[in-house]
Amino acid sequence: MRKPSPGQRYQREPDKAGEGPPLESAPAGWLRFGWQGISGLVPPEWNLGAIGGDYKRGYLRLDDLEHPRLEVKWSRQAVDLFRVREKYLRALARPRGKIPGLGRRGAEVNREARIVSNRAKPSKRVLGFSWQDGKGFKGAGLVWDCRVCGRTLFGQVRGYGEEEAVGLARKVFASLEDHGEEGRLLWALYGMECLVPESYLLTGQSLMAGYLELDFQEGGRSLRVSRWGLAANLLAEQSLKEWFETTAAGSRSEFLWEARDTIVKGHTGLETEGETRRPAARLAKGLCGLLPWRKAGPAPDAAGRVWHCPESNRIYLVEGLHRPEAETVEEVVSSLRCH
Amino acid sequence: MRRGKPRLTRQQALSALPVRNQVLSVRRLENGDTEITIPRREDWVGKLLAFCFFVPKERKVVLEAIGSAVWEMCDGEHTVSQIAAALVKMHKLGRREAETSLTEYLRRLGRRRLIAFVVPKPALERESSSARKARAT
Repeated sequence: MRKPSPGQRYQREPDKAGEGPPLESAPAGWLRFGWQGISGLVPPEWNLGAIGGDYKRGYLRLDDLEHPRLEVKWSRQAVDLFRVREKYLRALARPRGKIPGLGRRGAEVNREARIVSNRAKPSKRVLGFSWQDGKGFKGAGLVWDCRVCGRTLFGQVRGYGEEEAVGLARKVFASLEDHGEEGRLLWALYGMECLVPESYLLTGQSLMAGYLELDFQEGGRSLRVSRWGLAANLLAEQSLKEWFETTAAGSRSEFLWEARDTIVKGHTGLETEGETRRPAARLAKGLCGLLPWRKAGPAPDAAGRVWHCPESNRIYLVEGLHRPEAETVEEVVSSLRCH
Repeated sequence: MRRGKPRLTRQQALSALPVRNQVLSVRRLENGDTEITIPRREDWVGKLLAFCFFVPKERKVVLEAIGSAVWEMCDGEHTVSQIAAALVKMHKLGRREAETSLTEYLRRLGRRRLIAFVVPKPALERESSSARKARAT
């Protein structure tokens, strides 16, 4: 992505906001998930249940409404794949509580389980496994290391009752990937999907019923992607602009916000710009504007897009803070699938 | 030994039937909100507390539009699961989102004694037989 030169005007094309192609929809009967570069397709009932760590080392778990379903751990540390698998399977095979008719025994493990072939994942070395205990719990998974991103991944799908864990694991891990494409990572959770440049690292998140927020940072620049549910109720007695001025803008009071009506992704939306309230920054910016070789005005300190999607009954916000790059905000808006 | 309150499993909680407290008076407001009037307790404890702390004779709680819709469905005929499904359909929520918000909301109503929960006997019996099996292993 080419960075604009210092003298280049910060150009906005409000009419073209979000006109680029959004992410392709997931195949029928599957839901896309993406977190810290780990992405794939899972059954639609599975959703993010636990997260931890960062891009270099972390953990995520997807649960259905009752049980944990997919666990993934990753690390940038080089490890012995055989040893990692062996340590886990040995712990599973250790005898535990009594099972009627079977006595004290641990899980039955299978080191020959073929979950994903090396041919299907040419950039990875893959070791599969599966296990089943006497209580109807089962699992199937793999350990791999990736030559592209240098990460080692341990993943496992859990099955319950009559489910075939190996078959389910094969489908899930066939789609699983541990790095982005074209310099962008997929962030997809609870029905919201967007692509964010890899250089922007996640620095914070709010994952609440009715509100999602992901905060990213690249050097001194910040990017925020937010989603509010129950939009029809939020906008029952106020316009989107009024809502933005009282709610979204209010939570980022370090900027003076201005919002203009526009169309974003075919929906009623706002183009927002914010100026810093900090006196020193405002003075420096004003002085820069006087320089003779600057052909155009300085870039805003914050800029973004807000839109109301009636199809999903949600409000979306994508904004760049602290001298954002227009292209980045537009790319994220374009990639975001809102319904 | 004193036994604590039995904990419900997730399935039992979802099959529970919320029922409105009949002593409350309810008024539907013009904007779609619901106003619930809660009378002060009139036993000797209530009277003593009212005398010492100037407790008013009644207090009002207003439920906004979504809360009012949930309140209407707390009629002893809709299970928690059915109410969650209705919220998913009405407001295009995810199932998990609806269940999380709804169970928290119903918990608060229950704590304030505005509703009570009826757990159908078959759900309890199903659960206790599987719990016995789990204990046996």
